[in-house]
Amino acid sequence: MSDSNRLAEQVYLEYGDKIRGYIHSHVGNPTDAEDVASAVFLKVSERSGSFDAQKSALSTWVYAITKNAVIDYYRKRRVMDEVPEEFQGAADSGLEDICRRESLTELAEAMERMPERLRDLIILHYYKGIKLKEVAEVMDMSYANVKVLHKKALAELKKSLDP
Amino acid sequence: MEERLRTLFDYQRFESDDALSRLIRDTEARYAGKLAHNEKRKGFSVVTEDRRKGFRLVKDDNRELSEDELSFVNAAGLLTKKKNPEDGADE
Repeated sequence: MSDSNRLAEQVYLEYGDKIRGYIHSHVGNPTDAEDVASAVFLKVSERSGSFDAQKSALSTWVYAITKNAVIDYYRKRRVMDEVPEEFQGAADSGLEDICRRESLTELAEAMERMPERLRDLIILHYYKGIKLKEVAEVMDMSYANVKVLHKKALAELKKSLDP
Repeated sequence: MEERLRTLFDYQRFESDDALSRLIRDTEARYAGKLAHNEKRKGFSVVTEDRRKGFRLVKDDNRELSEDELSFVNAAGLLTKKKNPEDGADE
């Protein structure tokens, strides 16, 4: 078996569940989600020869392909107004720097140190994708207060993540 | 920092770091009721009145509302009137 076939197989076995889980979190329709997943495995297979472990972790490479497949799905449906904010910038910019497993560990540690209210705000806004006005409703606070706390949360995270 | 957080949390959807997943589950549990209520509200961003059919729908799939959905929308004050109902939905 060639190296690229071995890599494609490795991705399928080790990342198959993560790929599907990620796609399902963004693509509601199960049939569409399976189509997107198939497109990802096909792309991995086509590009496995060009993967360079010196430039990128395998996890990051697979994530970038999967993310781009989801963006393509939104584009094909021509519903760009539904596209979550995290997809509206350039798809690949800076992923190798930001998307490392250690980054998630560092983020979790930084958030554990934060007061619960600030942590909730960050999760509701950045993970659940809820706009700050709606976060205010969910957390029973004024919008003005949420904006202040949001700034405070960002400052705390910046201090923790970029000491 | 905002862009970085969006990217990191999207990456979390892929990697599912255990510690971060636990924090997310805790938050979701704390606000489960409020989040469910807001999700329901999201489905009704536009509701228009159609004189021929009564009230009509909303959203992308252009289906008619059920009685329950209609009551909810009415109660939530999300009903809007079109200027010219015969033309069909506004959006």
